[in-house]
Formats: sequence, structure tokens, C-alpha cells
Amino acid sequence: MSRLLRNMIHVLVGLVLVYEPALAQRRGAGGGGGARAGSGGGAQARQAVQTRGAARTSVNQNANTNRTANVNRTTNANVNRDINVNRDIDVHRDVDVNVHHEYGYGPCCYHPVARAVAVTAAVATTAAVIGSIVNSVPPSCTAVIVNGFTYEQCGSTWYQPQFVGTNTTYIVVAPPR
Amino acid sequence: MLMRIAAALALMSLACRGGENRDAVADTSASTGTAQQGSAINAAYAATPAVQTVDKDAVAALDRMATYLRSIKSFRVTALTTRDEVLTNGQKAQYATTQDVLLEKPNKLLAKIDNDGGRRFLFYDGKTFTLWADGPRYYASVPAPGNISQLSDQLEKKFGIELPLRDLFLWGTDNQRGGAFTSAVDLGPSQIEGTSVEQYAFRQDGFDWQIWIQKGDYPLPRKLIITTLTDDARPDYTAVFDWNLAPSFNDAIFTFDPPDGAKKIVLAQADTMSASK
Repeated sequence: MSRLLRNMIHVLVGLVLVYEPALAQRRGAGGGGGARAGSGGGAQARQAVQTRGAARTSVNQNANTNRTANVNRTTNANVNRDINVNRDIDVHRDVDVNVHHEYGYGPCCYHPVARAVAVTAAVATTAAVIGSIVNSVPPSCTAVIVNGFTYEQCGSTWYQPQFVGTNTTYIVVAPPR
Repeated sequence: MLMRIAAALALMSLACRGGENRDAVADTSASTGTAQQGSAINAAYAATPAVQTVDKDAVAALDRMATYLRSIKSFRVTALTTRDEVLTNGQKAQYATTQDVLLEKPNKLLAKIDNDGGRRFLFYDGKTFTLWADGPRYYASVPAPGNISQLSDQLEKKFGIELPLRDLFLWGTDNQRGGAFTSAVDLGPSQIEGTSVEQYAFRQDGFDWQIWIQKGDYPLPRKLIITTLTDDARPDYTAVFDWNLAPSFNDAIFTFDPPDGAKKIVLAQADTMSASK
């Protein structure tokens, strides 16, 4: 009985932690922007999957389809790991881990560059590592403009928003000032 | 609960047995009739044109379409497109995008892209290219080359950005891929949304494609399917085009004017990103 109760708590805590990135995403998306938010209002992020490629989209031009065909070998963080309660003490980390695999491998927007980025991100497991990539930033971040470009400052961590292809992602950078 | 599992297991075993039976039937027919069937099939094929030929008329139809596209100075096309992605296990997943492209040759383009990733706009006024995501209110601008074809090249190579529906303006330009067909076939008349079209199938190195070209004096592409052959899963890209050949606009709309609250960001460089892995 106590085990059942414990499991239930785990699930509940897990749900909250999984929901957290969804909130962050919704903020990042601002109601449907670059970050992947579910079509039903944002809380329900679509399942992320790893892809090995995609259909070419032009008969006259296509340099991308095979260029990074070898990028998808990395074992990425998965949803089940995020639900693991013992590891979810650092909420920031959870947000980022969850977010990594939603984009680069995310189902909406196959993009070889994005996939290359996601591999980089998979190596870096904490938000503070410079060069790691996320799809959204925590709601507590503040937009700061340095030299004309926008950064998101989240405590001591600085993110630089960027377009990868036509998708929005955030790369952790050294403090720009 | 247990009963349901048991029932499911029973169903599964039935299904398996059904499969075995079907296999057995297929095996029997194959072993009895292979020789005769094979020659009959060969004879049937001999009576129809072989698929591995290049029908000059099919290629000419494509050229005629390209020539016509080249003659159009401005157009607006809306398209519902789908693109298969291939999961690591070889399974396909299809995602849709709605694209709305307004184009004025040689150097103006405004495009709107809607999909699960949100809405983005692409602006090109002959001098500057801007990508605008109105959800997070981010934009990025870069100096652009002098025409749309060059822009398409540069965006793809430098930033990994595929201009939407770019075949529609690449046909009839220097960037057109020509003469490399291993097969070209006229599949006959068809209809797309009430319009009479002719369907053609082409095969080139690494991909098959089909195009439905409007009949009559306006040989516009109305539908396109590209099947990628370099992946065993053969992912498809499909697009159905809705044309407006007399769009109204003024040139100012091709220039991005940052609205209040717009935040400038950068375009990630394609080569840098690939190298950093």
C-alpha cells in the first residue's frame, strides 16, 4: 500500500516536472512561435522522436538531405528519464534536458542543422554549459539587448536566441557584457 | 483485467495463424505457377512502354511549364505541403505545413510558413533578407544577393534555410536541374480540384517525382510529389498549389519594418553548426 502511494506521488511529481518545460515552452513560443507548443494551447507538447532523415523538398535544389545523415547516432535524453523523480531536483536541468530532444529531433521541423545542434546539446547535460542548446528558456529570464542583439539572462546563465533554419533555439553563451 | 489480456493473447495467436495460412497459400501458388506466370507477365510488359525510358513529350511538357513560369512576373501561391520524416527505426512520420508565397521577379519575396513550430515570415526586398517569428517576436536580418535564385542558394548553403516552394521559381532559371532523367513518363489526364491536368512521372538520381500540370494555355504546376530514394523508407514530400497570377500588393510589403517589441537575433551558420558536432 505504501508502495502504491509512493508510486502515485512519483507520478504526480513527475507530471509537475514534465509540465514545467511545457510552461517554459509556451512562454518561449509566445503563443505559437518558434518553440514547439502543441496546437491545443501549448501545454501538451508533442512527442519528440529521433529521425534519421526526411524527404527532399525540391527537385531543383537540395543540399541538405544527406549532409548530416550521420548525426543521429547519439543516444539522446528521453522522456522517461525526465519523469525520474530522483533526478529532478534541479528544475532548470529538467527543462533543458526535456527541451533538447524536442527540437533537434523534434517532429515538426526536420532540419539537418538542428539535428547537428541537438547532438551538441546532448553532450552537455546542464544548462550552464556554454554551447549547449535548448528550445526554450525558463520564464524567469529577462531579455537583454547587447550590441543590438537580444540575449535572455537567467540568473548567471545567458542564452542567445538564434534561428536554426527557421526554428528558434537558444544557445548558452558566456556573459556578453 | 486478466481476462482481457487472455482475450488479447488469443486474438494475437489467431492473427498469427491467419498470417501463416496466408503465407502457405501464397507459397503454393508461387511454386505451381512461377514459370507460366513469369512469361505471361513479361509478355504483358512488352506490350506496354517500358518504364525506364525518357519520353521526349513528357520532358517537353516540363520545359513548356518552365517557360511559362519564367514569363510570369509576379504571383502568389498558397500550398498545403506534407513532408515525411524517417524515424530511426525506418518508420515514417508525416508533418504538414501551409505556405503562402508572394513573389515579384527578380528580387522580391514575402512568404508565410505555418506549421507545428509556429508561424514565420520571410521578407526579401532585393537587399535584405529577414526571418520573423511573430510568436516570440524575434527577427534576424542579413544582407541578401540580387535575385531570388541566388538568395535560395545562399540561404540553403549558409543558414540551412529552405525557401518555401522554391521549385516554382527555380524552374526556368539557371538553377534548374535538366537533362538528368533516367525515366520520364506521361501518366495521362487527371483532375486537381476541378482543374484538368496531365500527370507526369520522372526519375532522377536519388529521387522520383510526379507533377500534375494544368492543361491549356496556363501550364502551371498544380501538384508535386517528390519521393526520396536514398532512404529505404522512401519518404515523400507533397505539395498542392493554389495560384493567383494577379496578386495586388505594393513593394513596401517586401521590406521588414520591425514592429514594437521585435527583438533582433542571429541566424545560425550552417557550416559552423555542422562543424561543432
